[in-house]
Order: sequence, then structure tokens, then C-alpha cells
Amino acid sequence: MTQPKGYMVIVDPAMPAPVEFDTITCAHCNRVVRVKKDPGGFCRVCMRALCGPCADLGKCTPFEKKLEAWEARDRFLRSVG
Amino acid sequence: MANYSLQASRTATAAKTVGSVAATATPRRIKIYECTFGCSGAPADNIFQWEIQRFTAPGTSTAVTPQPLDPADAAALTAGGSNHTVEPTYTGGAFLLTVDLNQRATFRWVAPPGGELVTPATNQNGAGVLNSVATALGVDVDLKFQEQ
Repeated sequence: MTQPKGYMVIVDPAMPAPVEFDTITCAHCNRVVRVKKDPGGFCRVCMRALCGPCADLGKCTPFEKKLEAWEARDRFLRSVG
Repeated sequence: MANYSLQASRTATAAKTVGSVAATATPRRIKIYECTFGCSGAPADNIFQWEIQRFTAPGTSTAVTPQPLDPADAAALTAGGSNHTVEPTYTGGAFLLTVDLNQRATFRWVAPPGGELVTPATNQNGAGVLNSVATALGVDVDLKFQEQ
């Protein structure tokens, strides 16, 4: 993974030093995954890093589209009372 | 976009949610860009599973007012909650972050711009922080988020 998107640190007294990880936030489901544990994949349509399960689906549904759909559904439901 | 901070804590209750942020009747997207988890109880070896999960209704909790990081910013339109007694209505499988920690450990996650955990601008939708503490231990969460 050439461009990890986030940073995670665990400070545990049992460890000699803080444990650090790079993370990505999946562009399709918004989940945070550790790069070393789950390298996931990369979407060549939206050009963003993905988690493993979303990479396995093999289709591009950006998370922004899902958010817009949820918000549109809410607006519709409110408009019809 | 204004930045806000929310601190939540929980001792043993039937519910598992430590803290939550939820959109209100004037909904805004909530973008969580930093979170810190820890236990304030006496050190011991227990395993906690921490999770952040989406919900569509925030349940019942003690209200916590998110504080703007810049005092010049307006008050948050997002509702904060702590120490839930009734669990939010979580969306099945919508886990945004999961980590297993020893009770002695402290955890911090930071997202860069564009990598935040985002909830829709829909009334009562949001995200909650859960953990599996079953004994009378205090657990604490610090969330930093933006409204958009």
C-alpha cells in the first residue's frame, strides 16, 4: 500500500514501545482497516483504497453515493409525512 | 467546517454503548476524524473489544454537549450522548472500526482529511462507540469530529 490514509497507535504497558499501524478508510464502505492486517485492494474507477470485502465485490460504489442515497430517502420520507 | 470534541464514559450497565454522536432535526453530516479509547479502572488483564458502529436511532443516554475546538465557532448541531441505558438502533454489520485491547492499553486513531468516518445528514442517524465491559469498570472515549 503506497499511500496509507490514517494512523493508529496502541500504548500498552506490557509492550516495550507503542505499537503503531497505518490504516486505510475504505472508499466504498467507510470502514477503517489496518494495512498490515488487511491490505484490501484499490479501485481503479474511483482511484481509492478499499478494504478486502469491498475489493472482492469487484464493482465501484463510492461511499459518497451511498450517503446521498440515504439522505435522499430521508428527504423523501419527510416530504410525504 | 467546525471541529468539535466530545468526551464520553461508562461504568457497568446493561447497555454496551459508551458514547455516541447523532444528527438532530437540523441534520449535518458528522465526520469523525480522531478517537481515543481507554479504561480508567485499576489496571488488570482483561480483553475489551471496542467498536464504532452506525445507528439510525440514538437510544437513551446522558446528554453531552460537544465543545467547539475553536471558541469562535457556533454550538454543535450534533447531539452527543454518554453512558447509554437504552442501546441505539445499530445498523447490522455497519462496523466502522473494530479493535481488541487489553484493559491496560490506550488506543488512538487519527484520519487524514478525506478518510473520516462519515454519517449521513439524516435526523437521528449517527455512530456509537461500544465495548464489552461487563464489570464495574470505567471506560472513556474521546471523539473529535466535524460537522458539514
